[in-house]
Amino acid sequence: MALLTVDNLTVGYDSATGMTRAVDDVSFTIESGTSLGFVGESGCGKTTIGMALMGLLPDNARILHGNIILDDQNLIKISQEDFREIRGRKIAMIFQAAMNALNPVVRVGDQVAEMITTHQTAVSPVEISVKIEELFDLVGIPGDRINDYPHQYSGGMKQRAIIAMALACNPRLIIADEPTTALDVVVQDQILKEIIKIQNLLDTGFVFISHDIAVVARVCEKICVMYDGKIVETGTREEVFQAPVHPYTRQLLGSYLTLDNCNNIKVPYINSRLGQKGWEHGCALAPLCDNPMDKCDRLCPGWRQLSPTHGVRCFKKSTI
Amino acid sequence: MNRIVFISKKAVELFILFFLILTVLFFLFRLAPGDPVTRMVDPMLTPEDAAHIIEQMGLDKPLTTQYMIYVKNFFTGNFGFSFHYGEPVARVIMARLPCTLLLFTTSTLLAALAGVFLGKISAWKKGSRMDGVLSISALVCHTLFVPWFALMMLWMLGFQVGWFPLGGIISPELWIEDAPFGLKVLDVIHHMILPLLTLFIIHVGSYLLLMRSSMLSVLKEDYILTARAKGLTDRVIRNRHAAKNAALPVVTSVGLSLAFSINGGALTEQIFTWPGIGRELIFAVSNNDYPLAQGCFLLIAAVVLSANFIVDLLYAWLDPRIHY
Repeated sequence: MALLTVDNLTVGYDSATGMTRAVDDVSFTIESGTSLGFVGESGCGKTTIGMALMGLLPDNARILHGNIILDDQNLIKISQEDFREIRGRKIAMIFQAAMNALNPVVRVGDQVAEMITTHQTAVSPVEISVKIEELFDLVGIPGDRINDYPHQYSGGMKQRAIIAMALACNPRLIIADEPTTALDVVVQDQILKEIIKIQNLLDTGFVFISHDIAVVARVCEKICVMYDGKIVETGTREEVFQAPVHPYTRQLLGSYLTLDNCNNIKVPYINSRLGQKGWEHGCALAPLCDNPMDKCDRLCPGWRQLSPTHGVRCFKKSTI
Repeated sequence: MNRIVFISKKAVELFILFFLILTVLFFLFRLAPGDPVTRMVDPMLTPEDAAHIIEQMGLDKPLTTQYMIYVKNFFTGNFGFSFHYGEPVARVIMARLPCTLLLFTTSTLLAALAGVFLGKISAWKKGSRMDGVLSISALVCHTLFVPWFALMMLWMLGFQVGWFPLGGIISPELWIEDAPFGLKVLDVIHHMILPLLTLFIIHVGSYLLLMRSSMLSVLKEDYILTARAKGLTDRVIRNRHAAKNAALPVVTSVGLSLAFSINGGALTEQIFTWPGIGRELIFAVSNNDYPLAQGCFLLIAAVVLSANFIVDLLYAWLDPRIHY
């Protein structure tokens, strides 16, 4: 039994022009102790998936259909109050720390302690402070900084504190939404190492959301590539990176700068200057595709499973 | 250490500022249209008597000497004698000050507490019917014309219904008969309710609106999302994470309005014949009681300056990001 099973999740936003589908028929599973990465450009729906898993969708969003099953419990069906108890305790989220993710007027240690006291009522203050020291030690913050305020921390330390906060209740699943995006590469590297260390240490499922395919490649065993609300390709790290099938995946990988391609880097038509076409009338990626087929403009490509782990949403059979 | 340096630096700054105000005030009174001597001395007196009084008051001395005496008197706590009461100005002011403090401190604090509480709820339930009712009522309160509203309160609750006395702070008969202390307290409260209610209604709206808009912008902050993601209850998110940050600008506003209430309430005090500083100031100015008016102005300056000082300290204490 998988830790988390998401079936046909579809999320829409109410807008002036009607319901906009941000996440369209997305399915995936995560086992304990494994990690799944979502990559895609801005607006492809990856953050909406994270928010749906947390039950924190904005007021104008609605889950149109689908199931989110965590440990045999369907999160779509439970009450607000039950979901609140799950948040933080069973599913925790790591936000981008460069933003104001920490409350500026509350001491960092207290903000972590709050996580514990909310979900575990029968802990003594001594136990809490011991636990916090352990957590700060685990993420590499010196113990004498526990009682500092967030503004006294550097960006990297804030990110570490947010990770400590997410780990406070030993959650079953951790969702990391762009956790390293605003950090410089040196700190980014440290934080990623920290996350990988924690992954190896704990039996927790990880959902990693990022637009940076290199970051996802380092952290995640499985990768989902998204475009305009749908998963277009999924597979293990090796499958997606060494044998990408979908043209969009290849474009995304091709846009990543390496020493080999630095002179003729091809950035795909990232971000749709063409206007997003949607999936109703054929493949949303048809206008961006190098070599589209006739039916791509008429029919939405179905899901094809190439191996037990590798799947793709494209008509083309072979890699070009 | 930083704190001590900050406080002493600030104190020196305030002292210099106060000294400037003291000086400006001295010259302002002498610059008032007409000859100060004829304004301060009764024209009905014979020239000999007038000259005698002028000499007694030191008005025949050169301006610089007068200024030196003025400053010296100030620092020795001598604010002169009120023309009207014939008593030391300090004593007149000290008799009025408690009345003003009682009324305005109570009303400002009550209005601020209620405004913060209601503004918090209003922002939390943004767009609900309750938010609509609260915001519109707050706007109405905020835009009320103070003298009109005070008169209406007096007319309706004091005159028509007769629940409350029409003015003053005490019923003289109770004090002449030396009633028990509890009864006297109740009597003062009875007199205070009407002006208190008026001031409360006038101020609560602006605090509500301030808190509401501050709260709405705080609720959009990322740390509120973090708080939700932690699975905290709505009550904790609202009170601990949102309201604590949102109340910061309200603190400044309360501090400053407490300072200005000492004279800003002159109209209210006048209408309710509340024997406070504001009413005394109007009386002093309209009766050419220069020493008294000067004393009132100095008191106001001192209160505004020290209120600013306290707000600065309070703010640094409430917001850890602010450094001395």
